[in-house]
Parts: sequence; C-alpha cells; structure tokens
Amino acid sequence: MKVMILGHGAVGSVLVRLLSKEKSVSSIICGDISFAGEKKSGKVHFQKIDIKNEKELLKFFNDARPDVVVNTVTPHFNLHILAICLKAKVNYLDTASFWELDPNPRALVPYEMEQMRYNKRFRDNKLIGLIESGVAPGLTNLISAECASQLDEIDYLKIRMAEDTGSDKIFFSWNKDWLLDELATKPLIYEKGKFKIVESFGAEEEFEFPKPIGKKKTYYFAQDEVGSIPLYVKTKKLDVKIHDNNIEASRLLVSLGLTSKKDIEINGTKIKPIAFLSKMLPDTKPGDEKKFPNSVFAISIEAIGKKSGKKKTIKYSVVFPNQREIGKMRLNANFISYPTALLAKMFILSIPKIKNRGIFPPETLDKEIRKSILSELSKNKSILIKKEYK
Amino acid sequence: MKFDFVVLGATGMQGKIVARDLLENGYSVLLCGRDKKRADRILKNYEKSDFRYLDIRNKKNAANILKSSGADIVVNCMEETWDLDALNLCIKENAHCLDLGSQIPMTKQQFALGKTLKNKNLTHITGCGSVPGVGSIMLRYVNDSFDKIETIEAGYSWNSNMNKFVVPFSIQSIINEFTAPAPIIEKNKLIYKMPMDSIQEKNHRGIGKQKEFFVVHPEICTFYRSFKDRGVKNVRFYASFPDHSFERIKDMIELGPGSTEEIKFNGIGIKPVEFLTEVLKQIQIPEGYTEKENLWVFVSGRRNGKKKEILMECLVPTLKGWEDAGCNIDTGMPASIMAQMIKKGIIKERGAFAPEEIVPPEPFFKELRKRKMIVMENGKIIN
Repeated sequence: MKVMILGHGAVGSVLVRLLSKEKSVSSIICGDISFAGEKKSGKVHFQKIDIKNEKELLKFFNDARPDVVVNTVTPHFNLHILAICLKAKVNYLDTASFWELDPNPRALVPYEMEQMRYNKRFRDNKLIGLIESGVAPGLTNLISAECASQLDEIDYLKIRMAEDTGSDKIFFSWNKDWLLDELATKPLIYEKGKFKIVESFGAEEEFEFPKPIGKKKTYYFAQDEVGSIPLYVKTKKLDVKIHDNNIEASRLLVSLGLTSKKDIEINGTKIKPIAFLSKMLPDTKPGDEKKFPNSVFAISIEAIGKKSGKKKTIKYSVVFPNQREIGKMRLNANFISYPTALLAKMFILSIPKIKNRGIFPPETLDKEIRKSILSELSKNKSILIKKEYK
Repeated sequence: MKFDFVVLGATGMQGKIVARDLLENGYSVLLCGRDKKRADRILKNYEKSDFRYLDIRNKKNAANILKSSGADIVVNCMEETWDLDALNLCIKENAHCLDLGSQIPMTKQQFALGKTLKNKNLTHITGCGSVPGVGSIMLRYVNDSFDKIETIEAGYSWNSNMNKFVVPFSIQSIINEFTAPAPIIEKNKLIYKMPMDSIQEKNHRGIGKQKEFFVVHPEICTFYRSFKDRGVKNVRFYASFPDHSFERIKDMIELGPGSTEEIKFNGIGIKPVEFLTEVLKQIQIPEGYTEKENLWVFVSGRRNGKKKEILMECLVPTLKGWEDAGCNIDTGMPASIMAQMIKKGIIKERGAFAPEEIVPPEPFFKELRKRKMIVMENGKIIN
C-alpha cells in the first residue's frame, strides 16, 4: 500500500514512523512546507510541498499515485485537499472536520461536516473519503457503533474523555490554533431527536475512568463526533464531556472573551481576539511533553439502553500509555499525538477492505473492519481496554 | 456650549462614573475619550453633556478641545500612564487637574510641578479615588487625634454576591498590583516585598476573611511625604480580593495576557495588556450582580504619651441605578466630589497635592454619605 501524508507535525510525524513499520505499507510519501527539499529514508520519501498551491499539490498526487492521501494538517484545509484528491482521483482520509456553523439555517446539524459536500462526487468517482478518523473523533465513533451493535436500542450514549497531565500548568498537547478554535466553539449535544448547541463547560458530571485516572469532573466540550454519530447510530441522546487539567484556564479564556472571533479595535486596528491570543500564547516546543511524564489520555463510551427488553449498559474504556511510556517508544510523540496517529494508522490500513464509496465517518465502517481495528488495538500491550457490561 | 468640567477617559469605567455624578449634580460636562459608543447612554440621558474624540497622544488636538471647552477643571480618568501628560496639558491650558493616582515615580514627577502650578494659580490633586482618595482623607481626619503617628496601614477589601469574574477596576492596575514589587516603609527604610510572597488572611468588616497582600500603591510615597514630620516610621498598603477573582487574575497573569511586552501582530505592535483591556470591556455584568467594599486606614501612634490606635473604614455598597458600576463608585464619585469642591471654592490651595493635604474631611464625608458610603471610626459611623 502506498500512503501519502500531508503534514509532518505532531500527528503526521508520528504516523510516518508508525506506518514505516508496517509490512503492508510499501511506500510513504510525506509532504510538508517545512522541509528543505527532498529526502529519502528507507521507504519514506520526504518532500517539500506547499499544500496551498493547487497546481503543486495536484502534481504531487499525480506523480505519486498513492492509495490514500492522509490529511494531518489543520481542518482549515480539508475542502481544499478534498478538491485536489477528486481531481487526481485518489482516496482521502482525515482526523477532524473544520466544523463551522452550517450556513443553511435549516440544516439538521448546526455544525457542518464540510467534507460531506464531496460525498456524491467521491461516490460517483468510486473514491473513498474516510473522515474524522483519529482517536477522538475516530475510535470514539467506532466504539459507539460497536455498542449499538450489542444493544437493541440506546437511550443515552455518553462519550467521555480524560486528558490528564497531572498538573494545572498550561500545556498545549496539540496544535494551539486548533485547540483554541475548539475552545471558541460551543459544544453540541443530541437529545430527543434534535441537535442542540449548549454552553461550554456546562453540565458538570463526575465520571469514573479506569485507573490511573479514576473519578474526575467532566464538562461539555465541542467535539466533532456529536455531529455525525446520531446520523448513523440510533440513539436518543448523545453528548461528549471532557476532563482536562487545563479546564479552569480554558474556562477563563472563554469567559473573558479571549477566544472570540468577533473583531475588536486596538490601536486603530481590527483584530480577532482568538488570533491575537494564539500569537501571544507560547507554542508547545518538542520536548515540552517530557515535563509532564504522567500525562495520560483515555476515552470511555457508555451506552445505556436495552437488550431483549431489559435495561443494559455497556461501557468501553480505552486508556492509552502515559507520556513516560510513549517516550520509550522513541516516536517523538506526546500522549495525544500517539493515540491519534495510532488510530489513524489502523484506519489507513483498513482502506483496501472498505467497500463503501463516498465520504463517511468511522461509525459507518462494516462490522468486520470495526472488529478488526478493535482486535488490533487490544493486541497492543501498552493500551488498556476495559469492557463492562451490566 | 461652554462646560463646567472636562472628563478625560470618559468612556472608561471610572470616567463614566465621574461624568454622570457631575451631571447629576447639575453641572455641564464634556466627555472626552476614544470610543463614543461607550458614552452613548450618558449623552442620551443628560442634556448638559457632549463628547469629543480625544487621544492624549495628539497633544495639539487635546489642547484645542480643552481650550474650546471653556472648562477650568479637568478630571483625568485615563490609564495612569497618561497622568503626567494630562497634567502638562492642564497646566498649558490653565485648568485645574485631578487624577486617580499613578505609580510612585510619576507621582513624584507631578509633585515636582507644584511650584509651576502655584504660580499659575492652579490646583492638581493626584489620587482622587478610593485608595488613594477616600483613604487619604480618612487619614487626614484622624491626624489631629495623635501627637505622634508611627504606623499607617491602608488598603481595600471587596467581595461580590456571585462567584463570577467581573473586572473590578483597571485590569492593567490589577495586574501591576499582583506582580510588581510592593514598596513598604519599615522603620523609615524603603523595602520591597513581592505581593504573592506576602499573602496573609485578614478579616475586614462587611467582607469577611480574605487573602490580603502588599501591593504597590502611591500612598506609600504620599503618606510618608505628608506625615513624616509627625514621626511616621512604617507605611504599608494591602489589597484583598475574593478567592474567585484572585485565582482568575493569577491565571491571567500566568497565561500571559497581562504582559506589557509588545507583540508584533500584522505589522503593528500591541501590548497583551492593551489587548486584554479591550477584550474585557466586552464582559457584561451578570444580572443581580452586586459588590461591596471596605476601604480602610489603620493608624497607630501616641496621644498624651499613651499608645493610640484608630481604624477608619469606608463601607461601599452597590448603588441602585448604578449597578453596572459596582464598587467603582468609590473611585469615580470621590473624584467628582473633589472636583466640585474646587469649583465651589471649598478647596482653595494651589499647587500639586495628595488629597490628605488639602481636602477637608467633614464636607467630603458628608458628600460620601449622600451616596450611601458610610465612614466609620473604630466601628462608629461618623458621617
């Protein structure tokens, strides 16, 4: 399999290293604007590429003819890259949607999975566009589908996440602009057949994660999977809540209006607070993650519903290795980029088995692929997977 | 139209209070600032008001506005960094000047202009707000109760009825108070303490127990200057914040938006604290939100050979009809009162002063009481 990766950042660079160990991957081409030129290392070919340059990117795709183009740059470029994938007739995979408010006031989902604009064209061209295929979204969607397959009906699907650094010091575990954009986005929930935008950091709930995390306070947070899962997985209610040590700092930034996208005037210039905030906040430098060796990321999906007329609850929890353990893997990964890249890798490797065509998220993958990914994950000894059924 | 008063920085928190208080006392006020929208409510509700765009950095324009206003008293409510510029403007245009206080070095520069002001028959009072301001006048009030004053401690303590962060006053001043080394005078020696290293718990009337810490405040300079011939050896100033506000301010400082180091953004230099000030202006006060404050001065000394201590306090509520001002009424209204006292000839001295030197306490406290601010001496209401 030939894989092209756009972006050599926190996720892209880890993905390159993970894929290079896969026997089924014959060749990896990684393009990033930060590269000096061209360089080959084993089966990985690094090339300087300006993804904003349509001609250059189209030539890049056509010269390489990959089995899939993996977009690990920010979601701002999703539509741009999809357009060129369509022109080059290559498959596409990404790990997140841009997720802005849908301009159509009658849209079923207030936030748009913008990639879906290419659904018909991808389908007509027999192309695969697997979107939101990281860990969250991604694995969370997959497990939600898995829970649904084991119940007759779901009353409440809870997706809970913990990003626990063990410290209240500010640490951007991934792209700062992306994170600030998430903070600026009001969360979405699904209940009684309707999508609803709610206030950030609302609905505090104490949730039990597996050890070493334990019981933590979680709050509503804007996450893509709420906008897609109810369209494919039948549930009466769905929400995402997160525990994060930086929650108070995040809450402060939002409550003070520092993440606002509305222009204000300073010294005669109009600026968006979120843009200035991004400029002002320090970038996470490689190696910063070592300051938080106990950082750990976990997801829990709890489906409360019925099976054969009786109330049943299924709870899947996945605890990824902590930063110290990830450090030993020598992937230059942090506790978020590792699980994201790991799951992206698993989704990438499933591309040859996918029969669907068009644009779709992971919860639509068929049972065999879903089981295969979950089985692959369970073989990873550094990951704790816990299933509770009551 | 000719005006009784000009208010600089009239679209900010304090400026609006000063302007409104002057207007409600029947005076005409020219509001000067950079964001007319923020003054719209005052301009709409008070006939004797008008607005001019004034950026103090444009000295010529500022001078023209002051000259054409006809006003001979200026209340400067701009950020403290502009206090000296405002005073120089007033001196040039022959206007009395009041401000809300600045850092010690600038305060000294202002005092150095005392002779110039006297020669021009002008009055400048620096620190006309709460503390400095009300606190300074409370200190003057007790001066005659002592033969000798050894220690002066002053400060402010406040709380709100909701655990919601609302900017209590200038965020630039707040961040400075939290981070700048705080000067104190101990046994006639000037020493510095870091605010966050000096936290102690203290109980204040009407507020309760809170974290209190040394902060940089001009009273260290002015109180010592005004009372050193009374034997003063120790001067300390404290700030006290409710926990919900204290923690948020500390977080803001850690995150960086309080920095005064310029950042280049789209080719323009912007200080994070300027950015923060503008963003915080958008914060709405929640419905039903109220504040209360205790401005206090503790004086220890001797009378007739015996040890004597007096605690002066000014208790400040949120006023009906002034809810959006919170406890900032204790800064804006005193400045308005002192400006009116100059207008009425109650304050006649000419030169550069701190309030404790020239503001007569009794009429001042009477005006505070009209505005529901109670002054107490050792727990007994005196106004």
